[in-house]
Amino acid sequence: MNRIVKAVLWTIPPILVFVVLPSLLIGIVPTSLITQVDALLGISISAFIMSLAIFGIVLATLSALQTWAYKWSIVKPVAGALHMIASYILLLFILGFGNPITFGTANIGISPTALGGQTSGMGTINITIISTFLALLVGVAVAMKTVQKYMKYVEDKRFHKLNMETKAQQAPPPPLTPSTP
Amino acid sequence: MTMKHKYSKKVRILGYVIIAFELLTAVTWFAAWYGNGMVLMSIQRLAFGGGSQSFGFVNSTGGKSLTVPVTGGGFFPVTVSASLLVLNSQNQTLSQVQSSVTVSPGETKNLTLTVPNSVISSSSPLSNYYLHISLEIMSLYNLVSIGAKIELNTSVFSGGSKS
Repeated sequence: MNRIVKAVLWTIPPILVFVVLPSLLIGIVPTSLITQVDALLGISISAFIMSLAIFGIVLATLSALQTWAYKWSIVKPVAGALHMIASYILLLFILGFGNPITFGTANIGISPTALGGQTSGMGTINITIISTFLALLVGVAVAMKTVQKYMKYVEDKRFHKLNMETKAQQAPPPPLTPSTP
Repeated sequence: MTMKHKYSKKVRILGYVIIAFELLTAVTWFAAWYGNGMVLMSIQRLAFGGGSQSFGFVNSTGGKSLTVPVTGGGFFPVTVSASLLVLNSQNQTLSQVQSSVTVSPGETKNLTLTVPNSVISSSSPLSNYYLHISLEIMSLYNLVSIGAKIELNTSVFSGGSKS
């Protein structure tokens, strides 16, 4: 398959998952419910969806770039490594409930007053979800994958050079004397 | 025509290691969450109904106690730690009590928080105070955990405050 067609096809999954589907979902859900969830959790759902869309576009671009690049080109491992780093930041962003700096810790402050009068007597509820384990191990996996990509690139480059040399040797030798008309 | 080549043994072994590592990560993470979820469910059932036991403060020797039976589930030991902060109407801390238990899968232990009698006068019910309750369920050395901090200005336990 043509490299450009392949590159275009590889942009579809991230765009679909992080741009199209969340936008469709937010379009289906009633605005009043979104406002209520915003007030309950103290975060902006629209901003969260917007951040996901940005991640989706970045991932799609990097996917296209690494599919388009030749195996022996430095662009491939660089785009691949950047793609993995962007995916990792996206994971931290989701685990941190919109805050990737917390390294897998989500702090959700729930305001029961947003639910109405059912929770009289209850003040605020803070829920902390710690997923440092996942963040740590995925980080190690990303590092190992980056190393593997670089090793593959080195081997691909060496093989490409060898292939070119073989082709050059197999080509018919140029004529010794220029042909005269 | 471009020839295809096989990657070296080093690269292929690293690939297998990465796949195994990712599978192990996913399985361990889900198992840890399953254990934490089981404990959370048992506490939630007790606190918000569904169980035959009442959930509230009872008079005990030395003070008023809140006992939470914790049942471990899943595959790893789970640590449940709780702390209770008693504040007066001026938001001044009167007492802070902490307790934690570690339960193995299938094991049940009681987590007890006792507010000393010296803090709460016998004439005043506990519902006159502000309470900050923190509960944390941890497994895998606190790398996978869920915690909640709830502020109450009256007793909202299903069993009510038993003063």
